[in-house]
Amino acid sequence: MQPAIDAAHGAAESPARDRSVEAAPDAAAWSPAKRALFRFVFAYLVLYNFPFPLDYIPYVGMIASPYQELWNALVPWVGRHLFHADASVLPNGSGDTTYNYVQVFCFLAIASIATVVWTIRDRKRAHYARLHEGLRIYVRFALAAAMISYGAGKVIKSQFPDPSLDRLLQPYGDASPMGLVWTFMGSSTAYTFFAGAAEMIGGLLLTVRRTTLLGALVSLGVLSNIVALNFCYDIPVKLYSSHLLAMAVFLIVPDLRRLVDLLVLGRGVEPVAIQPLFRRLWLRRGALVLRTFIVLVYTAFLLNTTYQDNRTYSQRDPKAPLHGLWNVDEIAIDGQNRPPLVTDRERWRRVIFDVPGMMAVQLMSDSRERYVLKLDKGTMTLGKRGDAKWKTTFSYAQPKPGLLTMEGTLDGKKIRARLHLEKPPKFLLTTRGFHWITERPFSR
Amino acid sequence: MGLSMAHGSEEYLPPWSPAKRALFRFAFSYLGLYNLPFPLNAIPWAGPIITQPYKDLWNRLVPWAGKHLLGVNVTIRSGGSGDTTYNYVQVLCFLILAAVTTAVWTVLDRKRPEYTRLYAGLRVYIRFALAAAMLAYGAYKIIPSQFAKPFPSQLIEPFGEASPMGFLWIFMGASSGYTIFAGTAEMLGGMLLAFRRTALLGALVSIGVMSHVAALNLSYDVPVKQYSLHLLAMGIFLTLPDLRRLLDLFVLNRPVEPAALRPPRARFRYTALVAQAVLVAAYSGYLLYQSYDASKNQWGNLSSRPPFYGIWTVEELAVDGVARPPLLTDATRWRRVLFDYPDYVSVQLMDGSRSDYGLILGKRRLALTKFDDRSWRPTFAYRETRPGLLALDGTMDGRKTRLTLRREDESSYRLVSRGFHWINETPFNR
Repeated sequence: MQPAIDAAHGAAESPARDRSVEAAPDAAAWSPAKRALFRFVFAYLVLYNFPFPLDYIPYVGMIASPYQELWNALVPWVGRHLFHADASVLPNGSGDTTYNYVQVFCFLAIASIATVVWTIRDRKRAHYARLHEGLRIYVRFALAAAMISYGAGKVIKSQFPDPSLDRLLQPYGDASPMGLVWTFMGSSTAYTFFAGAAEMIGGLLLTVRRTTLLGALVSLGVLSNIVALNFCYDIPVKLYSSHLLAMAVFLIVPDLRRLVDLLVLGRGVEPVAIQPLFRRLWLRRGALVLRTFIVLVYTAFLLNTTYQDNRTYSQRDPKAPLHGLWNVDEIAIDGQNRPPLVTDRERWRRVIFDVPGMMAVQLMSDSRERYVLKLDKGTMTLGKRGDAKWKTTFSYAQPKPGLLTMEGTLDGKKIRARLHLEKPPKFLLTTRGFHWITERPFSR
Repeated sequence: MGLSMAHGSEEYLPPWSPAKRALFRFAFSYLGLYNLPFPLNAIPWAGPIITQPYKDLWNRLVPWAGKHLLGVNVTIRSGGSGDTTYNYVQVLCFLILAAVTTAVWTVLDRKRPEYTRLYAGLRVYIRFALAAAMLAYGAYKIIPSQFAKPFPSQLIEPFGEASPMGFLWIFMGASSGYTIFAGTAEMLGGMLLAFRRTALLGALVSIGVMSHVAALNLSYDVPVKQYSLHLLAMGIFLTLPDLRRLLDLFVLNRPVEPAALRPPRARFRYTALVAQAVLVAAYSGYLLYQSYDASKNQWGNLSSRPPFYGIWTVEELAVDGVARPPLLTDATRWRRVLFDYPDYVSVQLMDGSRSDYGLILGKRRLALTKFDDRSWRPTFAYRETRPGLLALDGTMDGRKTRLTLRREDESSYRLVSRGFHWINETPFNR
């Protein structure tokens, strides 16, 4: 654990050596409280981020799956026996499931136990400067990977697609707060790009050692906004985004003093003595080349993935079968013909096929229901997101272009409907566009 | 070096290059023109009155310049948009005036080697101008008056029918928590700017916040583009002297020089600091009060709601005794009546289209009015038969019209009712 002092680096002459605790091998002894705190932070952050980076390596990620299975067995067990809570729903699109909370509890418990054992067995050690440096590298890249990945999904629109036809027809009040954010972001490509670019800049700055502090500060700003959005609009990424924010804070803390000197006290600030990772020059250069290569490949890989996602899910194909807005002209529910009364809670008003693999039904109240759609010749299979068991099939036919008949069972009711293709209205939201000059605010 | 140590008449100030001096003269003139009559306009209550003559001057100059320089007719409009033709012509006037000033100043003052003192003065002016703007924007969000909770008519409006700006307003208004968060960031930037020690940090916070605001304004067609971009530029202007220090620390990892702050006169140092803190606190308090007042009296979240506030479904409608069932195909039938504000009512037809009418609400009778047709004035006797059930009986367009309205429970709307959840087993993205 005793690294060689690199005399050529000139660190010995620099007065900064004393303060750059994380780098200097002969750093001053840490207080017992600081050592204990470090042990806990180390254990917790490693537990939270593991199996990173294995899960990011293509084809190697599979190695991580037994580890995941272990948690999938442990977490529900802890949930049942300690909290009498059902933690069996695995994290899906939500990162705030009972499972996630119980898992975080497990991380905290294990980190506490690890801290106690480690403190007893290793009480003689003066400091963990070297290990802290290693942890910083790990957390830096874990945070960078997350920021770049979030950014890529926005720079190329895939996380927030253009608002769908069924969404544009849905009243604001019928949307959930999370749906509101999704559509808000999706309705401006420019704003989504801005948000993604900020995330990517933060992430990429984090990958370079010299700009780590700047990257952490950019990430801190960006993530504060994301955490605020997640908490305020019921977006279930609260735990994860808060952890990313905490990781940014973790990376900033050692430089807090320097930041205060720079930004508040107006004092001179000494540079950090950057301790080379390796003694041999070729190893250092090799590491630099490898890091640059990995960052570039990872970023390119993500951008390509989001580009493909964008092509598959965001691009609407007006020529796709059934694509468009269908008005329900006639509908019989359990054999009973239903006139288009807006008070009818069951009757359909419109059926919309826009997002690939989705079918939306607008009820007479204008409320929107969405179904997962699999279209075959003459039959459509409907499912519900988040409910794998729910399934039904409809038979359909197109007697003429622009006419559609559907027949099937939905929630135990037999439905027979005749629909005709309607021209979608011209939506203000999507057609208003950009205006340099606005004589009066156009807020409708 | 010398800057931080010596002050007084014998102080040595390094000369500037001619280009730097010329650039400074221009920046000084332009930023001065853009921000005037600040700080007079920021004086509580009296500000608008004191600065009216100055405003009148521009209200004459801008249309003249528009007509003679650009050949466009400039209408003076009050309130709302900050990206009117007027604003663009005015900015052009600022640019021309600043350029002329720079030329004259350069000729008359060519012997002066530097403007170190004047630069410091300009920085103080810009700091406080930006701080005042940040504090005001922040105050109007911390006590939500800029963005109100969605009104009944907004809850039933389809996404596609709102303008991008309207959407942004609904988005912000839907969460008091997020609005307060955004306002806190703005106020924090403003407060840090107000103190010399923390001005750099305040400028950096303001740059972060204002880039976000400018991005929103540019992306969602909000006509505050010019102003927000100017505020962003002012934030950048304030960081310029420290750019080298920031770069040394954040990118180059080089030794950072101490800031070139002139130490204040030791005698009044603490008195001045206390006075400054009191001023900032008082001004923030004034702004928060203004926001509270606006929220209470201009239909913000704190205003008292008018009678019948809410979404009312037209359950029954009979014209000349003939019942009109709520069929979607009956295009002219009323579907909902929306009471957002007093004195107004909005009627949604079965086809979704909406018309706004004036409302005269008496004790037992109400009348509707049209803004463009004085003779149209249907009158109804009304009675709240049960809470949430309203019976109207009257004559409209010469026909006897009876309606039964049922109040919809606003909290049945997902956007209103969803609330906060620590645990989500699945995302609730509807």
